[in-house]
Amino acid sequence: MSLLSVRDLYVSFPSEAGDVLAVRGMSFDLERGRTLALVGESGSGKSVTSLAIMGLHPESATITGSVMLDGAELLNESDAAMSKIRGNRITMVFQDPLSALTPVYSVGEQIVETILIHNPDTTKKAAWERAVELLAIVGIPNAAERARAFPFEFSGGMRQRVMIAMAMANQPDIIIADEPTTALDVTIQAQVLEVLQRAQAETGAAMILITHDLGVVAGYADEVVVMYAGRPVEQGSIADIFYRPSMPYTIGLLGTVPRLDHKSGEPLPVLDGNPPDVVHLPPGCPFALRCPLANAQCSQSEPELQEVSPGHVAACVRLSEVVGKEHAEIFPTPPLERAVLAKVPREQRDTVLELMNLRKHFPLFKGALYRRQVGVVRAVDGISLDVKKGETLGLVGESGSGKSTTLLEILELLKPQQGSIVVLGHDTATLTKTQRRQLRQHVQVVFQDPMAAVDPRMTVFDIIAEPLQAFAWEKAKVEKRVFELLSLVGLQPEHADRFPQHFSGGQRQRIGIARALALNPSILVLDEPVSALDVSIQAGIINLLEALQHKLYLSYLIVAHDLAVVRHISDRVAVMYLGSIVEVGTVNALYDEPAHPYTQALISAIPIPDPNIERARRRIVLQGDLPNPSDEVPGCKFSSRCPKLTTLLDSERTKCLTQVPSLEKIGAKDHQVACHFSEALRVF
Amino acid sequence: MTKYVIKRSLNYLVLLFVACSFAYLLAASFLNPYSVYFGRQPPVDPDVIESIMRECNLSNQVSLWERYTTWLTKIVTDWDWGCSPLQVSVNEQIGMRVWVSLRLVLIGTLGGVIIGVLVGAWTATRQYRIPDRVYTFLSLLIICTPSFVLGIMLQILATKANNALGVRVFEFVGEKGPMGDYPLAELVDRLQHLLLPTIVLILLTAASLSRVQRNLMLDSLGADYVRTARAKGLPKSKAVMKHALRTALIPTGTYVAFTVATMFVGATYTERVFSFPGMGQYGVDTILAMDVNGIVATTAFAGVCVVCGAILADIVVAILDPRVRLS
Repeated sequence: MSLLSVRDLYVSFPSEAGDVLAVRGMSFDLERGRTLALVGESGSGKSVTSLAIMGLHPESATITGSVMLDGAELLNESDAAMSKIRGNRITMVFQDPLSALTPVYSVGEQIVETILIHNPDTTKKAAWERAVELLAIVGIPNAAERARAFPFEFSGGMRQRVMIAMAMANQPDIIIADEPTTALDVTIQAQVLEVLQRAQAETGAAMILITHDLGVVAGYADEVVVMYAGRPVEQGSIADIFYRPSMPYTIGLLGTVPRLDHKSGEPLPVLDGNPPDVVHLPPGCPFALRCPLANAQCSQSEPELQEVSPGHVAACVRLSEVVGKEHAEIFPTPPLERAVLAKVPREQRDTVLELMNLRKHFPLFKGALYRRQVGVVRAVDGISLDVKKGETLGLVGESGSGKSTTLLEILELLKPQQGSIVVLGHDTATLTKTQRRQLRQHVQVVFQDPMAAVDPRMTVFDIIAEPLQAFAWEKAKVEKRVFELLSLVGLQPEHADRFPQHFSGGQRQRIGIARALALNPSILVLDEPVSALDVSIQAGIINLLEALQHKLYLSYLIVAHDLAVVRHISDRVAVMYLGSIVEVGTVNALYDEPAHPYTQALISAIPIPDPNIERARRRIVLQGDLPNPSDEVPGCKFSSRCPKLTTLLDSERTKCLTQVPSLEKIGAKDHQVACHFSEALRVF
Repeated sequence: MTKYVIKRSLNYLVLLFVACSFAYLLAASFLNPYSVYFGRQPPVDPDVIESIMRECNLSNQVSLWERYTTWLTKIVTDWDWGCSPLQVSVNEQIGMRVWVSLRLVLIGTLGGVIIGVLVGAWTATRQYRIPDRVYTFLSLLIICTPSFVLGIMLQILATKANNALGVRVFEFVGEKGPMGDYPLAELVDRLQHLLLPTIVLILLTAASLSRVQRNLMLDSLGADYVRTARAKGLPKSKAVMKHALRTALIPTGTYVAFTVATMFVGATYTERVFSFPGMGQYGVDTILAMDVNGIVATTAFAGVCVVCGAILADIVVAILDPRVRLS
């Protein structure tokens, strides 16, 4: 008998538009000690499935089917009965550690509560000791002391460790981890995943891992269920799913993700369209609308899961034809027209943006009545960069490393605190007000969250026309330009009079890009342009950006936390740490032979969606969080977390701790590193 | 924390001094205490009036600045806030009325707060169901009703009840009345008089607070940490009480601390309707009686209440919210 057995699970909620069919026919078995991954895009029903198992779904939901834990039915159990199972036999780690802990109780108290509610005989003192022990297991330094601290005194990664400590407190049979690392930095993600694995080993629990990140799945899961529009469309072992995918959606998903270990250059294969609305599902296969193989048969009835091989099932009416097909045979790669400029060597191109020793310090004040300066946050601490015409520079680093501040400094076009910003040959410090306004046309921005970046009360036409009107374009020309832009970014002319709410995230991002392009800029600043989008939508936007670059000779400055996306789209990459650039070079040099220990750790932290490669990698896990950017560090800023430091001789270590390393040229052309003991290392 | 409170209090003290001085200068220049003696039968000799006015530091023959300094000196040296044009001591009046208000307001507000918080929290967990709709309707009805209407309606109901019962159970004039001759008679009599105005205050406070609390509670009910609490194995009711309500009480704490303090002078209508000799009633009476010193003293008292409320609110928030306490 399986530890957990889910059969024919259906979950629906009433909504104003009609019933939301969130989960439709979910079935799986979970054995002790195994890890099952639920994979799918937002709205595919992953989280609803886990909440239904826990009995924590909204009360308005209708649930049918069966959820058996060790042969006992859990559905329709009372809240009291489920409370005995929740937190004891099945525990959960939620996505957002910033809001998942009650702000008014210390973390120790919150763990103690979990222990006491299921073990009423335990004394408070014993429970507290156990809580401290758990915090130590999940890697919280000074656990005895930190147990008394409140959630707001912890960083995101540390809070997620507390959540994991809480989840393992009562030796559960099953740990459900719902996007446990989505809200965290990649370096912290690596730490948390390691802790989660430790928790599983310690308790012997089975795990349900819910994620959209195929790399995480490749590294940790034993079995995988791929969900689409509330329905499991393919189920099998990790090898089945990654090496023998048999449902076109799975095949498309695996092929559309940019890979850290693949050289850039070619456009990404694209999964066109958007997932269907689960309120008004079209008849037939929900994926048919996006499937290049779909025919009339596909839209007749929804396909059932059929066996591909023992333990591997997929839902496709044309299964026999699909099995064994390569990704490229099903999903065509769109052609990319390369610009003539692409052949011109970098040195011969014009420089469109140059930062020299740019600095931005924020004073830190204290005191409510008599504010006094107690320190300074070195957000950007003297960086130099240049972007040539038609080139993409990627800026990477953990949150708090100063990437966004750098972008803002450039966009403001003002005289910087120190150093200089030169845009298209104009030093921003010397500009007059009119010149600055004129120059603004040439530097435009695309924001991270397409939902928030466009005014919901303006039509698409008005949104795209606004920058034109701001520069007093003639009415007739504005109209012509807006329609031109719509077709340029792949939207239809009839979209012009609709409101943003009628568009999906990917389409809204296209609107944002059209607006940014309206004034024919030379430089586009892209702040996490795809991170808010689902995996299958990302590729389309990335390809669009690349095509536009070649067509319009644009230069991009892109900030992204997904290093695989950066590898794909960038020509050069700069790595930032605490306001300084620690390594900069061409994308292939930097990814294939990273020389700074921080770059190595950063790249090493990104999971690769290939189980064999991913499991064979030796990961460099950075210790701790990003230090406080207001701390005074005499030597190398990275020394407090540097994995290399421990391997050095005492005399060498002194150098790291006392001398600030400067960017030095190494190896191939145009590769610079700021490390006293830099050494190229392959990390995948 | 203590240092912070002291610092804040000093700031407030300066503010209070400025406010009271303004109040004094305004009242002394615009009110005419002489009018109290006009049209008396038999008429009072103007010289007598003038001497009374001089004694009370109200004479318009003396310059405003001199009156102001005299008034201030008396307060600073003797803690004497002066007297009314009819020579009633302000200190005495306030000394008596503060306690009357305290009994009424403290019970009324605290009762209202407790009921308001509970009703608000409970209706939030029953959002859009029948109990929620009923309480929402009732609380909106009470909020819409002016307090004097509410008071008079209660009086009418009380009279009917008294008549039906044949015994005077409900008293609604003044703070105490003729009492019987049995042990604890005074206590019973005072409670009888306190009952109706207290109910009015409880209803008013509870009605508005329950709306605030309901909204706060709805926010925190949907919070991730409540779901975490349930995922840990807390039954729904316990998760709601311990995690949702506890967090939703933080903003209420500020609001309540402030309300309790300011209610001392804010229960004017209720006190008037029930002829309760409290501070709220005094504030209105002093204006009608051209009582310059009384007005200023009431203003000062109200100011102290607001300051106490503000400090109290800071302390309550610090107690309830570790984020404020520790950073």
